[in-house]
Order: sequence, then structure tokens, then C-alpha cells
Amino acid sequence: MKDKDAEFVEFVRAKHRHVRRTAFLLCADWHLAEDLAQATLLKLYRSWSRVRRADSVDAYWRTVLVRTVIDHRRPLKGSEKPVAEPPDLPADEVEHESGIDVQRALAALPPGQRAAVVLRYWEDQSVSQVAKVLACSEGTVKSQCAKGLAALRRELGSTLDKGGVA
Amino acid sequence: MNDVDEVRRMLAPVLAGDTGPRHSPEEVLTSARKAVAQRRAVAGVLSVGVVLAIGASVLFAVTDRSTVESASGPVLTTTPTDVPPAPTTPGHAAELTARLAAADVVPDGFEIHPVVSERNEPPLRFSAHGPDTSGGYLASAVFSDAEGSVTLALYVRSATAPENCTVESGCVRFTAMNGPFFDQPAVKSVDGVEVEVARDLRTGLPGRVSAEARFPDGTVVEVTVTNQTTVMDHGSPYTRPTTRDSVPFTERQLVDLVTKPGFGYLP
Repeated sequence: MKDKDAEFVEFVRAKHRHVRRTAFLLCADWHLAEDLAQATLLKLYRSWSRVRRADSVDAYWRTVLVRTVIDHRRPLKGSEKPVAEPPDLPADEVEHESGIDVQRALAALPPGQRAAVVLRYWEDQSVSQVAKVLACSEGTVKSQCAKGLAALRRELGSTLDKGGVA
Repeated sequence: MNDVDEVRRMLAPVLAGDTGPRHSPEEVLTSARKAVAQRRAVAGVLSVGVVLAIGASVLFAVTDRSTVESASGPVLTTTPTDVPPAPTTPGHAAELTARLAAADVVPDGFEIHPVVSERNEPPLRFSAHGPDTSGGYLASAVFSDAEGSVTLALYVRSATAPENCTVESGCVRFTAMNGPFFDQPAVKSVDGVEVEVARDLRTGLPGRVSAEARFPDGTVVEVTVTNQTTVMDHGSPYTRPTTRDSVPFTERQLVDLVTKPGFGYLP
């Protein structure tokens, strides 16, 4: 059996980009996504013995990532601090109007709907898998997905019709 | 086209700017190993701290020393080096609230509400901010009129308090996902106060305006007004843009907010 570090490096090589992209869809900020992906990978490394025993490593990292994103938002109660810097959104990362439209549409979704849509449709997870990751009922997932998808269609319908989203 | 294909087609443009992870797998491994080592070290220090604290409490109980004397006891030597210069106190928070009220610098003509109505926390009342005492004090409120609402956050903190907002610090930033889209802010000095104006990328109008004053006693006072509000969804807070075109306050009003009350981080 490979040692822990070698296995972990192999996992990072294979999944880091995917983890980072999913993190971005959940937070829409590349720099924050990098931090969240990094934090997720560190947590996985700490629990690597459990990760390697998991039925699905992908399900495991998705769960850890979503919890990391949620934990990052939760301290708002006592420590919300609008930074003096602009949001981490370099212009070259949203240079296309369609990209901005999509980000705005995503931004308009409540976190629960956004996470459900990203996991269900972007990650192509089943309703039961999403329910497990989000620790909610399958009915809630279906409801959140339906509302989120309807909102995206409402916001982006005209863009799609115009061929603005390739 | 099924839903999965449709959503992937919708979301694809926002990933066009992905330049890939900043760190190589080997660098991630190095960070992970370092984090684990640090975690173990901190756990060890905390264990020592608990032992010393227990020992100290027994010692102080036996010798019947005062609380003031115990503060200089051995427990403090095991605390992290980045402790703030002074702990926040409810009493000083109340004093700051009273100073704000007495200064008569809160803009008129608005209804003032709590930032999160469900929590029913009084608006513009200072309280300890952050997970530890290094965050200083925060007073916040939503200002509403017929045109819409904006969120105001007023901080009084130490210049030596950490300002970095990281995953590890548990701080929440306004990001593209939970806030409006702003251009790079324009920065200028108004009577020695640093004023930043960030314009909404879509409207070109000021979407976030902040003013920060630094005082000789080490106090930093910062006010930020953002054209958005916070709402709760299934127990999670998120921010949404408001109906207002831009931030309604003038730079002078914000400068007065940070300078006139005479806020001090230390009691």
C-alpha cells in the first residue's frame, strides 16, 4: 500500500482543480475558492485514514467542502466584516458580460438553493446524495433545486436565447 | 436538453477565467503536514495551559489572592502571542454606544433597523466583535427610506488587531457571491481620514463607501456603508442587493461618524 503522503499527493493532483471549481460555484470568488479548496484538502489530509476507507472519496470531499463553505459563512453572527478591499473578483475573470450575468444570477440564489443546484446539476449527484451532503431531506433538495433552477432560467433565459452563454 | 446539461451550459462561462490551482500537489502536501504539526503543537500548548490554569486556580484558592493578582499569574505565559492589547468589555461597548448617540452624527431621514431582523439585535449598539477579543467593537444597522436600504457597519478596534480575513480566522467577507459587484475603489484622504469609494460595476454609482480613521492612541475607527442588506434563508445569512441606486451618505457624514464621537478602543 502506498504511504499516506503519496496517496494524498495523487489525490490532490487528480482533484484539486475540481474541488476549486466547485468551491468557486459555491462562493463565486476565485481567491476565496482557492482558500476553501485548500482548507478542504487540509481537512482531508488530517482525516486521510477515514477518507481512504470511505465508500466514495468524491462524496467525502464534497461533504467536507460544503461544510467548509457553510462554516465560513456561519460566523457572520459575531464576526461579519466587510473588507476595505474590493471583492476578490479580478476583472479578467469576468471579462465576458455573460459571465457577469451568470454570477449575478448565482449571487441572487440563497445559499441553500445555490448549493443544491451546484451539487445536483453541476456535480450531477442524485437527490439522495445531495440530501446526505447538505444534511436535509430529499424533499428539501427537490424543492431547493426546483426553485434555484427556475430562478436561473428566469435570470438567464434571455442570455441563453441570445446565445450569450456558450 | 436535460437539466444537468442546461445548468452546465449556464454555468460554463463563469469558469472560463479559471487559471488552475495556485499550488502544486507537493506544496499542498507541505502545507497540510505543516498544519497538522502546528495543530499538534497548539494542542500541546493548550494542554499545558489547562494544567497550569488548574494548578494556578488551586494555588490562588489556597492563598486567597485577588483576581487582579491572578491575572499576572503563570497562565498568561501560555496564551498565544497574538492576543489583543486589551479584552473587550460590555461596559466599554455601552460607553461607545452612548458616545455615538451623543455625537449626533447619525444621518437623519432614515428608518433604522437591525441588520438581521430575525435576531432582533438593536441597531447601532456596539458589542464585542469577532470570535475573540481582538476584533474590537461593532455597531451596525440598516438605513431605509423610500428609495431602498443600505447596511452600515461601524468598527472600533485596536490598530494592532489582526485585519486579515481568512478561512482560519472565521471572518466572513463580502464576496462576489454574497455581495454586489464593485470596481476597484477610489481612495482619497479627507481631513486625514482615508475614504474609499467603490462603484457598482453595472451602474457606475457608488455601491460601497468606507472611511477609516487612525488615532494616536492606537484606535482605528472604520465605517462601511454597502448597498445591500442581509436576510436569512434556512438559518443561513446571505446578502442581497437593494433597490437603491447608490449609497446615500456623503463622505462628510462618514468622516464625521468616525471622528466626532471620540471613540477609543481602550476604556
